[in-house]
Amino acid sequence: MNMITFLRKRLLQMLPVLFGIVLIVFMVVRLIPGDPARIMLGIRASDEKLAALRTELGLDLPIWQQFGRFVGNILQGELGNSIFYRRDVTEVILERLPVTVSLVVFSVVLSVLISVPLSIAAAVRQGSWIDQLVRGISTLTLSMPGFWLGLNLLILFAVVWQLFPISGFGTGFVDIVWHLTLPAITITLSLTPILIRTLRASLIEIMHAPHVEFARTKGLSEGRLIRRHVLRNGLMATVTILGVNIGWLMGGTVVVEYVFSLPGIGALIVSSISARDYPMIQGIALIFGLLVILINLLTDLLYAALDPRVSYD
Amino acid sequence: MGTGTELFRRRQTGVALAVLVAGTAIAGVATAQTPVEGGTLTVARPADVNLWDPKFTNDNDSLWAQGQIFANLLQNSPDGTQTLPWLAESYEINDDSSVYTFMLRQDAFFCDGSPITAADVKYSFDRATEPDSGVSWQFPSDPVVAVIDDHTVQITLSRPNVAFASYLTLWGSSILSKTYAETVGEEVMAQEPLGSGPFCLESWTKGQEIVLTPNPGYWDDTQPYVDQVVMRVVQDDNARLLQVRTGEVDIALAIPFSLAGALDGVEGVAAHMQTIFGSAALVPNMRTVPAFADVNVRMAMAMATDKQAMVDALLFGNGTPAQSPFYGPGILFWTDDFAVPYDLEAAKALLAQSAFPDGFSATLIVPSGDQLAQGTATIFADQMAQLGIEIIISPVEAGTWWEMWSTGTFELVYKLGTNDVLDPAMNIPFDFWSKDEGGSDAAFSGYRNDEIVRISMDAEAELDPMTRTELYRELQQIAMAEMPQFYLFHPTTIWATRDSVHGFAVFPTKAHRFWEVWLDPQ
Repeated sequence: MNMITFLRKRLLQMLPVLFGIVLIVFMVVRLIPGDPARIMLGIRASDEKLAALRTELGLDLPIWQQFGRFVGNILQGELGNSIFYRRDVTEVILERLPVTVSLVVFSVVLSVLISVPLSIAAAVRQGSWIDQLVRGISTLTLSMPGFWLGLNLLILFAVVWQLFPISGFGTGFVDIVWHLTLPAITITLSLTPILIRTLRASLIEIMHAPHVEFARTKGLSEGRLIRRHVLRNGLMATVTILGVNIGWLMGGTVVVEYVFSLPGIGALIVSSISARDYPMIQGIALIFGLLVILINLLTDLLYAALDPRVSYD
Repeated sequence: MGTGTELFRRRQTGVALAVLVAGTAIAGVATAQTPVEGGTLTVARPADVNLWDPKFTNDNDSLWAQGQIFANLLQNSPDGTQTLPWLAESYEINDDSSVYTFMLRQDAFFCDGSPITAADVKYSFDRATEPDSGVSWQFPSDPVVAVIDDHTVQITLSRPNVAFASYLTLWGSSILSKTYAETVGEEVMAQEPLGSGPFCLESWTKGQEIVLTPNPGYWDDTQPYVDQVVMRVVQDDNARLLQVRTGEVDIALAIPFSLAGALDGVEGVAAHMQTIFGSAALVPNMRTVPAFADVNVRMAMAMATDKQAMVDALLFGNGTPAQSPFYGPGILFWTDDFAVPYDLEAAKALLAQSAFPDGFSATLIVPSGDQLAQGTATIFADQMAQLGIEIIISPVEAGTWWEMWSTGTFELVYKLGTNDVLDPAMNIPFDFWSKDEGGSDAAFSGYRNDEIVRISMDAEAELDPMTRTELYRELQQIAMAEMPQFYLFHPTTIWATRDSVHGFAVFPTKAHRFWEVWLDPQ
C-alpha cells in the first residue's frame, strides 16, 4: 500500500470515529442537569419566557430530532449558533484555536529541543552525575503543579526582571512568541520530564542491543553510532508519547491559559459547559476530535519515516 | 484615597466606619484637586465581555463594560444614594406614578454623530421587553412607551409603580441607536456596538483587550478626562495584583479578600473596598423538607447562626452581618430594628418547641469552585450541629446548582444576590412573590405570605415616602419574624489603584465609571 492509499483509508476510518464522538458528546451534555434557556434568561425569567426560548432554540424537540438537525448542519459545514455568545460557533472557535495551537506547538518544539540532548547525555553517561542531575530535575519539575509553576515564573521573569509580559497573546509573530514564552515554558517543564524518561530508557536499551554492540565493535564512533543507530530507534517511543500528549494538551492547557490570561480554547470549554452552551460544546468536541485523529495520523506517518520496517499496511 | 495600610487599619475600626472613610476620601480627592485631562487609563479586569447587546446580557463583566459606552435615561449618584437624570434632562411623574414623561437632552449624540432621539428610546425599551429578552424583568408593571416628540418620551404602566424610575438605571434600559441596529442587524450590533454614552468602542481584541475612546458627541464637555481606556482581561487574581504592583495597569478590579493584604506597604498602590448592595443567604425549601415549613425551626436556625463569625472568617472582617431581608444598609427603607441576635440557648429552646425537637438533616447545595459559598456552608453546618441539625454539604457544578434551585429540587441552597438599584422593590418579587403574582415561587422555596405580597404591592404604588417607609418597615418585621431565608452577610468588593489615579470608585452596585477618572500628568 502506498502513502496515498494509506491516507485515504485512514481518513475514511475517521468518519465513524467522529460520528461516535459527536453522538456521545451530544447525549452526554443533555444528560447532565441544566437548562440553557434558564442560564441565558436568568433566575428571574418567567415560565412562559423560558418555554418560548426553548422553542426558539429547538430544545423542546424530541432528542432524535435535535440530533438529526445537528448532524444535518454538520454535513452542510455548519456547527450552529452559540447560545451564549449568539454568534456562529465556528467563528468563535476559530478566533481562539490559534492561541491554543500556537501554545501547544511552541511547547512541544521547546520540549523536544530540551529533552533530546538531555536524554542522550543522560543515556550515554548512565549513572554519572549528569544522568543523576537530569533525572533529579525531571522528577522535580514533574512534581510541580502547573498553576504554581506558572505563577512563580510570572513573579520571577515578568515582575522582578520584567523580561516577559504578565499576560495576553500579542500580535505579530515576534510579539506572540514573546507573550507565549512563559506559558510555553510552564507546559514544557511538565512535558519534558515525561519525554526524557521515555527517551532515556529506550536509548539505554538500544545502546545495549546486539546491532549497536556490533556496530561499536566495528569501530564506529560514539557520535555516529548514536545518530545513525540509537537515536532513530529510540525516538519511536518518544513519538508515541508525544502524540498522546499533544492530543491531551489541546484541551489540557486550561490552567496555563488561565494563569497567563491567554484567550485560548481551554477557557472556552469551561465557560461553555457552565453555560450549557450545547452547540459550542459539541463544536469544540468535534474539532478537538478531528485534531486528535489528525495528530495520530501524523504520528503513524512519522513512524514510517523513522523506521523503514514500518509499512503503510 | 486610602493606602494598603489604611485598608487594614479600617478593618480594625469597623466596616461601617471603613465605608464612610472610603467614601469621604474619594469625594475629597475629587473636589480638592482639579481634574487633569489626557492620558491612557489601563485597567485589569477578570473577564472579557461576551457580547455588547444589553438585551442578552446576563453577566456582570459584560454589563459593567457596556455601562461605559451606553447611557441610560437616569443614573445613580456616585455615592449610590439618589437617582439622577442622565440622557433625560428632566422627568415628570403623574399623580399615581403610572405615567412617566422624560424630556431628553438635545445635545446628546451617538458615537457616529447622529442625535439621540425619543425614537431610539422607544426602540431600545421595546426591544428589551421582547419575549426572548434576558432583561425584561427590569421593566416591571408592563410599560408601554410612546414617542411624544423627538425629545419627549412617555411611559405608561399597567399599575402604579414608584420604583420604576430606579429600574431605568439598569443595563436593560441602555439606549441603542435604532437606525444603526436596523442598518447592521442584531449580530453585528452585538460585536460592533454604537455607543450612546461617554465612551465609544475603539477596538476589541477578544479575550485580551478592550479599547475605549471618548465619545465626541457626549454632552458633558469636561468628561471623560482620559484620552483612552484600555481594559485588559487578566483572569488570574494574582496576575491582576502583580500588574497593578508593577504599574502595568492603573486599576486592578475584583481583588479577592485573601489577597488584599499583599498590597500592604507597597509603595504607589492602594487597596480600597466598598460594601455592596448584596446578600449571601440560604434558602430553605419548605416543600422538600417538612421541618423548614415550621417557623419555629427556621427561627431557631436563624438564631443559631453566628453571622459575625462568618464575616470574620470568610471575608477577613470586610463585610457586615445581614439584619434585614433587604440587600444592605444602603438600600432605601432598610432597617435593622428587627434583627435577630445570635443566641444559641434561645435557639435550642425554640427548636424544642417545634415539631422537630430532636433535629433533622438537610442537604445544602453550593456551586462547586465557589470558595465563599463552600466556606459559608462549612461554618453554617458546624453551627447547626450545635442544634442537633445535620447539614450535609453538597457542592454541585454551577449549571446543576442553577437547575436544582430553579426547579425547586433542592433542600437548602446557597445564593449570593445583589440589588442593582437603590430601591428594595427590585428583589421583592423574586424573594417574596409566587408565580401567580409574577414572582419566583418565593425564590423557588414554596414560601408564601399573603400579607407580605399585599404590603409590597401597596408600597410599589405608594407615593408618600413616609407611608412607603412604614410599609417596608412592616414587611421587614414580618420577614424577620418568619425567616423565609437565612440572611447571612453583605460582602465588600475590593479593588486596587495606583496613586496616579483619581476619581475612581466602585459603587455599592459594583458598577464603576471610567469617565470620571483622571490621571496625574506623566
